[in-house]
Formats: sequence, C-alpha cells, structure tokens
Amino acid sequence: MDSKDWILTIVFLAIHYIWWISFLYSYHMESDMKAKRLFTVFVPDEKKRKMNIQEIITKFQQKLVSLRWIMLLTSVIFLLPIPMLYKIIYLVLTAFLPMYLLYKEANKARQSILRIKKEELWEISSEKVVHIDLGLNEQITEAMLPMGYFLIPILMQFLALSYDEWKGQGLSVLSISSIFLLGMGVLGYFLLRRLPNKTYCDDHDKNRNVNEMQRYYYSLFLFYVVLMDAFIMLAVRVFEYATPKMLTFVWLGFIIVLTFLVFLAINSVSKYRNYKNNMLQSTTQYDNQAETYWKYTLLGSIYRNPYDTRLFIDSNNGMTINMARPGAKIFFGAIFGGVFLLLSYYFIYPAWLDHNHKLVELSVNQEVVEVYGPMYSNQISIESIQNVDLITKLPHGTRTWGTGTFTYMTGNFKLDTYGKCRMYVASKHKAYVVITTDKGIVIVNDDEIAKTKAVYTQLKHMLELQK
Amino acid sequence: MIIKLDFESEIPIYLQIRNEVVKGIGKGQLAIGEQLPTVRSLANDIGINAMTVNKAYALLKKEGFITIERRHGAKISPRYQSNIDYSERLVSELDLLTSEAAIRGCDKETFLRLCEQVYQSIHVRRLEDEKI
Repeated sequence: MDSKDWILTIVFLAIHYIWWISFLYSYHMESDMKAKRLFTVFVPDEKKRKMNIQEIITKFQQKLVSLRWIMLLTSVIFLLPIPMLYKIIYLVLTAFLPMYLLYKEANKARQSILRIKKEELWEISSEKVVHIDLGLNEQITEAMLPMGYFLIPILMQFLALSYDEWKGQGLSVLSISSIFLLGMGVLGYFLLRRLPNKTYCDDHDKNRNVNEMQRYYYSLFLFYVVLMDAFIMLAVRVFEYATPKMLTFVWLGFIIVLTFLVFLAINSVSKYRNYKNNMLQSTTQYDNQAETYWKYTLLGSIYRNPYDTRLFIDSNNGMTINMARPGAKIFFGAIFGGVFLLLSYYFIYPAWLDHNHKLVELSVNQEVVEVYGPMYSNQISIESIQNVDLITKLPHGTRTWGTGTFTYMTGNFKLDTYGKCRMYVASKHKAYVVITTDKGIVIVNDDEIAKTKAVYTQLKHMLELQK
Repeated sequence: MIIKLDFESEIPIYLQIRNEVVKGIGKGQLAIGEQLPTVRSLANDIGINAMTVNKAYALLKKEGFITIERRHGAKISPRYQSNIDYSERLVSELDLLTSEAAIRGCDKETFLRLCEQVYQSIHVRRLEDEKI
C-alpha cells in the first residue's frame, strides 16, 4: 500500500472506532447506576442495589466488554492490502453491527427490569402530573457561558475567510459547512437560553443548582464544538504552507489540539451529568416519563410522550428529543434540510449545470482569459501568460485547498508534473489548457471540449504574435 | 414552592395554577411580597400557552391575591379584606362541601376535626418579617 492508501486506511480506522465507541459509550451510560433510569426504566435508588437488578447490569456490562473485543478484531481487516472499495463496503456493513447488537442487549435488559417491576409491584409514578418549582425563573440563564466567548471562534472564522478572500480563492465546501455549523452553534446558544427549567425534586436549592449547571455546561459544550470547527478552518490554511518536513509535526499538532478540544467538549457534558447525579442522589425525584413512552431502536433510545410538553428531555446521555412534539419535526427538518441543501448546492446543482453545458464558459479577449460560471470564476491577465499547453489527462496530485467534486475542481493543487498550481476545471471534460504565468501555473477548461481547444488555439496564436 | 398540575384533570390548567398559588399562600409556602415567575417563563417551564398563565395571573389579580407591575412582574399581594361577596361565596362553597361530606357518612364532629386539622397547616407569612 502506498502513502495515500495508508492515509485512507487511517481515516477508515478512525471512522470505525469513533462509530463503535460512540455506541458503546452511549449504551454504557444506559446502565449507569448513578442515573435515574436504567435502560430507560425508572428505578428507585434502593431497588438498584437488589441482586436481580445487579445481575442484569453485570450481564450487560460483560456484553459491552465482548463488543469492545469485536470492535478491535473487526478493525484488523482495514490493515490488509485489499482494494479501498472493499474496505468502504466493509466499513458500511460493520457499522450495523454495534447498532444491532447493542439494541438487542439493551432491549433484553429493559424487558427484564420491566418484568421485575411488574412482579414486585413497584410504585408506578403518574406520568400526567407535572411538578413546577415556582422559585425557578429566567435568571437561571445568567449561569450560562457569556456570549462574548463565542467571539473567539467567530473571529477565527473571519480570519480564515478574509485570508481566502485575499488569496482570491472564494468560498469552498469546507468554508460553507463551517459557517453553517457556526450558525447552528450560535442558534443553539439562543435556544439554550429558552430551555424550560426542570423541577427535579421538592428542594428548591437543588432544582436551582442543577438547572444552572445544565445551562453552564451545555453552553460550554457548544462553545467547544464551535471552537473546534473554527480551529479546523484555520488549520487547513496552515497545511497549505507546510513543507514536506514540517507536515508530520503539523499533523501531530493538529491531532493533539483537536483531541484536546474533543475531550473538553465531552468532559463538559460528563461534568454536568456527574454533578446532577451527585446532587440528586439521595433525593426523591419527580418523574413524569413513564416507561411506556421510551423504547429502544437501532439508533438508540427514543422518547415519545404526547403528554410531556417539553421538546428536550434529560436522558442518560445528556439530552434527547421528545419525538411526539411538533418541534421535533422542525428540529430534524432543519438539520436534514440544511444538509440536503448544502449537498444539493455542491453536487446535484453542478451536475445539472454540467449536463446542460451551463457549468462554465471559457473565453479570451485582448486583456484576459476568463473562466466564468455559477460555481466558480477567475481571470488571468494576457500580459502575465508565458506559455500555454493543451493536455487531455490531468496528472496525479492532491488538493491543498479548494473544492473537488465529481463535476468540478477548483483551488490549489500539488500535481506530479506541475507541482503547485491552481485549477478551475470541469472534471468530466477531458481537455485542459495549462497556462504558465509569472505567478504560477493555472489549469482551466470549458464544459465543452471543442471550446477548450478553440481557446487554446486562440491563446497560442496570441502568444506567437506577441513574440 | 412546588405546584402540581394534572393534565388529565377536569379542572382547567389556569384554574389549577390559581388554586395551587392560593394554597401556597395559605400554607406559607409563598410569602406575601414574594415574586412569582414571569408569564413567559412559567408558560415555558410548564409547556403551555402563555395565554393560559396570563389567565391564571389575571384571575389571581382580580381576586386580590397578587399584584402585577410592568417592571417587577407578579408579586404576592397583601390585599386581603373579607367582604360580603366573599362571605356569601364562602358559605355557598361550604354548603356544597358539607352536603357532600354528610352524604358520604362524615358526621359533624369528624368534619369539624378535619377542618381544624387543615386549618392548622395554614400559616400566611410575610417576606419583610423574615428579612427582619
């Protein structure tokens, strides 16, 4: 395997482990003794210590250990010298393993606890009675991380975008996604301010403290996520300038900082959960979330209670959405809709443009060579041109900055034959004009091969006349 | 103070809120002069329309249990004066309560004992007195 294959292998391994660890951690929290619910079933503290309940938890946790081994063993395949396509298929197929195995075990544990609850006649709480602490008010939001902190990632994004503008590179897929995530983060902050206060028990001080800590740690989590995003945006520009010798250190630094930020983000949610569990440990908690409204699916636990008017509910993993609320449809609609719009703009729309020969127009006049289209545009001064070539196949290389889809490629590249260069090409049309200027090499084409060749002939003629 | 609302009850939510606040004042869980949450905040916490909370607060204000100021919001009000209208209403409600108790076999002594027990839990308190 060459270096490119190794990089892809590492990426696949990372995806594999992140996917498995997310599910393992999430289901591990379902069996957390400190949480109010075990496998979505409300279990009073004194009942958790009973032998039959302990047996269920122990058995489940033993299954988790086995699944960790399965995670490690299944990852070995990625290290074998097999075609990348097979590795992608294997990655997708093995993704279903933790989903199904954990769902099956957690559901089994849940059914066992429900059976015990029924047989031993535990007290069933009324799910339609709501307790409200009148001492909780809007001042709770003062505990949130001040909005000013978000200026740090906003400034970082602004610097990255200004740099792109200065280099004449325009917006790339990464930039747009990053801005979208920043927007979602800021929106999330304002939604957090409007989160309803929850009454956990009959002690006002405990209710107040837990609500305040929730606001603080969740706003901190949002901040770290947005900061991570801004850091990636800036780091990508640094990669552009790294020499081959520096690249290893740059990668190492990038991974260390990113890992640290991920740790801080996860730690903030974990700290809130520990605080809440410790604060409410020896307290009788109110509960209006009957077991009938929870269930396990392949994607984990789902809550659907038409009598619960809250949209966001505390769960063992932080928060979950009440799928019975109209707001749930709006929430998921906004996320999937946003992602669909983004993908459509960068993949479906350009494909349609290309199919109708509206993707790009390559033209030349006395002063400039211009590529112009809805997705990208650029001008090259005729005076700066030193040489032109026509090629029918692009050399191998990597993109250091810009956009590369099945339909078009724009930005900065490092190609085997030409080294560092800029490209503005419609990928499917195999005729490219290589223009050597006093500032470097630029490769352009039209979405019709005949027009590309015509522009090349015209430029060649103009250069000969200049000489 | 913690109030309890039953979404399955025949009593409308705004009336339940009103009843809970009145009971809270009577039992000393809400002190005279104490601030109540804003309409928007309480509606958000319960998960109901703000108009419902507004209706509850309007009723409490009309009955003289709270005052509402634009800058300070709703506060437990000190305006308690028994008048003829209230006395007539009290007699009417006691009439119904006593009749039902008698029909269900509750004798006079038991009824009065129960009334005394409930009344003993009543302790209207003032915020200023506690600050002193």
